[in-house]
Amino acid sequence: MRTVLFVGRLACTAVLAALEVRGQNGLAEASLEQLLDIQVTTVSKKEQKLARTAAAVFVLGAEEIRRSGVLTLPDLLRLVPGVQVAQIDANAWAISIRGFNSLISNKVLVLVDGRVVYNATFSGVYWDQVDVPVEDIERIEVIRGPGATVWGANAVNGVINVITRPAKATPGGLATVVVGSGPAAQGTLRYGGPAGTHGAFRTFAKYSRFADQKLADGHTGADGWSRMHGGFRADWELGRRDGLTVQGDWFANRGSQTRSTSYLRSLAGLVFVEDLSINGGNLLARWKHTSSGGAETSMQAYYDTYRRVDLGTRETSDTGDLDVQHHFVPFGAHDIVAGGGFRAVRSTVRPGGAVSLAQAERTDPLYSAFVQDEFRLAPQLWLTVGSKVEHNSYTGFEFEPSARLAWTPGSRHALWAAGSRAIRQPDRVENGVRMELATTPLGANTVLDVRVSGNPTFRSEELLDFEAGYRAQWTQNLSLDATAYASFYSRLATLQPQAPRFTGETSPVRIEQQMLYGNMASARNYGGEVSLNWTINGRWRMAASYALRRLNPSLPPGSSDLTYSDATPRNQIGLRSEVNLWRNLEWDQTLEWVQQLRNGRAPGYVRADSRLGWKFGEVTQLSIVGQNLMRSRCAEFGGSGWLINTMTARKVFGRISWTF
Amino acid sequence: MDLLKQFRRRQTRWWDLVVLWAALAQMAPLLSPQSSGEYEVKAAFLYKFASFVEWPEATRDEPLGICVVGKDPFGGALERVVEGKTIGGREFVVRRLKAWQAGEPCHILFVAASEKQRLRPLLGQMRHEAILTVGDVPGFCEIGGAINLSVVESRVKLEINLDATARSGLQVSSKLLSLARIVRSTASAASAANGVRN
Repeated sequence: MRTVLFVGRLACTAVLAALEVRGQNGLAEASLEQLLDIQVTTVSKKEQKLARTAAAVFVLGAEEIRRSGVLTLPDLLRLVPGVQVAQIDANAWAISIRGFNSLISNKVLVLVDGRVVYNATFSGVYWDQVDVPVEDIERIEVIRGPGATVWGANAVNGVINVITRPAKATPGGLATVVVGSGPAAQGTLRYGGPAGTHGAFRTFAKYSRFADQKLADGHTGADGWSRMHGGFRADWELGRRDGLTVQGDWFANRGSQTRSTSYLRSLAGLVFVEDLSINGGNLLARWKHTSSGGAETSMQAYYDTYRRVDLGTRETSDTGDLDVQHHFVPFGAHDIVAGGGFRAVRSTVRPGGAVSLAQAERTDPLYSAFVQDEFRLAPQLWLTVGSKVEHNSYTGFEFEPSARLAWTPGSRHALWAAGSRAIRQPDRVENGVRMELATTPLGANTVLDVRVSGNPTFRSEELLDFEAGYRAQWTQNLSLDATAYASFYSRLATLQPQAPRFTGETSPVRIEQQMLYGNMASARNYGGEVSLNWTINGRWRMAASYALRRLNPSLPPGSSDLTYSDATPRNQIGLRSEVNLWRNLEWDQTLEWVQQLRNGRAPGYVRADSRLGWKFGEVTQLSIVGQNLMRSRCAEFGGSGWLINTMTARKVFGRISWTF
Repeated sequence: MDLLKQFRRRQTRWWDLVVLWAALAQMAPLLSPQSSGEYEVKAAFLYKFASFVEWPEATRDEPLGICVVGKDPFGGALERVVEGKTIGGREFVVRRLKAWQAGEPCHILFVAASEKQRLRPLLGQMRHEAILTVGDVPGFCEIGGAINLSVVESRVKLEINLDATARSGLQVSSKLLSLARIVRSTASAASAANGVRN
């Protein structure tokens, strides 16, 4: 902590020393060098469009991403207002929006360049499999609230969309080396260039190593891991109207995890270390066509595969996906997006691990189609209506309609309201899991076996959601975004205890208690998010955000809650400051306060991150980043099932990058 | 007791940070406000270019014409910058053109982003005019534009295509060259421009 303060004070002195006494002459009097050094504020068409978007959208831009100094995608999401990021151990995170957080939080859909990384077998995202070199990210778009009309099933509480830069934006070479406490290390090598006369490519290789974290009792958690990752992207302009993108990734993760033999925390189990090993890759092609009238058509196909050994369970998954979208503006006043898609997921979960499924292998096709029309009701009033229709192999047809209204009185204010329905599709666990939950002695010669069984009649979880928001750009430098929501969930997952059954075994006497998956819970969630952006001057920008969630589940007596509605803090505050101390010296800070989780498994905490960055000319960048500076160790989330939680450690690391 | 101490210590840490933050806030007014609108800065560049570029003799006695073709993004900033300014005794005239026509009295032609789809024919027409073309879209220099103003990491960056300035008979000062990224026309763009000319 002292070091941080020292660095801080040093930085303050630097500011004072470096202040340039500059006359109040206009820009015309500035020299060319001075003009080149001035920070400019840009307003893109996307931002203008964003102003009348009737949804709670936040865009994290490349500059904020660069200045965050983080090493992983989950840490990047901490910068997004309203997103709860809680680290479980060195390689697992619980990330959610508007509540229901868990190891695999199942109500937030995540995509990387249009490829769904949400896992349909277990409903959730394996964050250790999702990684994009931070330097290659163009922006991260986060929609809080349902986005099912366009994105489909599982976009219940939000959508996270990671978008990488086109290859032509990353020419030449880049080498980045990170060395830090722990010891943690990361190295990235990237090279890009022209591909033919009208195209560009880039390719990268990245290695990351994350150190073991500590258990709550101070022992080493044996959860360190390493990751090898390589990939490429190539874009071609085929004439004036067509574009083709081909990209792919390959990765291999090796690590371990500390786990217990007992799923239930209330029952003591043996604690041991198990290997975590994942290999995977994907290949995607996207073709975009712009017609002379301005209509855009895109076709995308991808294949994604991985093999994962996690908690002793061997899982393989292969996904093929085809997606077509057409965007056109008929009759002037309408702006229509329509599309269709097909996806097939073949997943195999080998019996013998902690989890076994009714069928070891299963292929699930998913057919979908959607149409959405944005049209002008009055000069400043826009209505967007649409629906997705899907057919999945568990519940058949599903409809996810929404209606959104945006009113933009003047260019500085926008008010919007929306009503939508979204569903979370059943997964293979809910449909057909067989899991030994616990074996407890009841008496001298009696044993109780608790088993969890999937339910083939498990239905989709459903959300009816009502939101309203206000966006203001008071001045060029001060803007506000506020959203309030009322969400009504029904058919949420529960476990229903069945009548105890005598198995016939007599020594000892075994009684079997079966817990069957059911849809018996419902919940109401009231809350809101506010974020404020203030560009104080050309050198200093600040952002503040607040999120409130009041999530109340209700379920019939006897049912066990599987909604994870209590793993969420009620209140969360984020502060961010980006200062240019002097020419190419940057000092950036993030402060985050997260209230105690309502299940009591993690205390409230304040997290402070700080970064000091220098640019030496055009070629070299150097930065020192401190993460989680307030405490040497901090629990952000409880353990999750068999997985034992470790403490997020204070980290200090240096990063140097060269372009060539 | 230990617990109390620990609590206190934690609070001090927390407060230290707040104090630090507050200290920074105090200094805010001291930091010179350097942020400007993108197009105010770009307008200033257009004005500055006149001092760092030499036009052929024939065009020397007219006022310096800065022309904007396409949808004007400056919103008056260009006029504000050049108002009352002279370079070598020559005043500035700002003109807005719907489309370029040969014979317009321009020295600097700013091609707005709205002309993105029509760049190649326009630059083909400009090839041998003694006019400094300044672009506002990525890839402008690669297809034969003279100077491009791009924004990278919130700062304006300059790109110069020396083939283009040479063809137009313009002398660019070494000072300006030293601050810009030198870009060459891509082969296909050069031939496309030729095609238009032929």
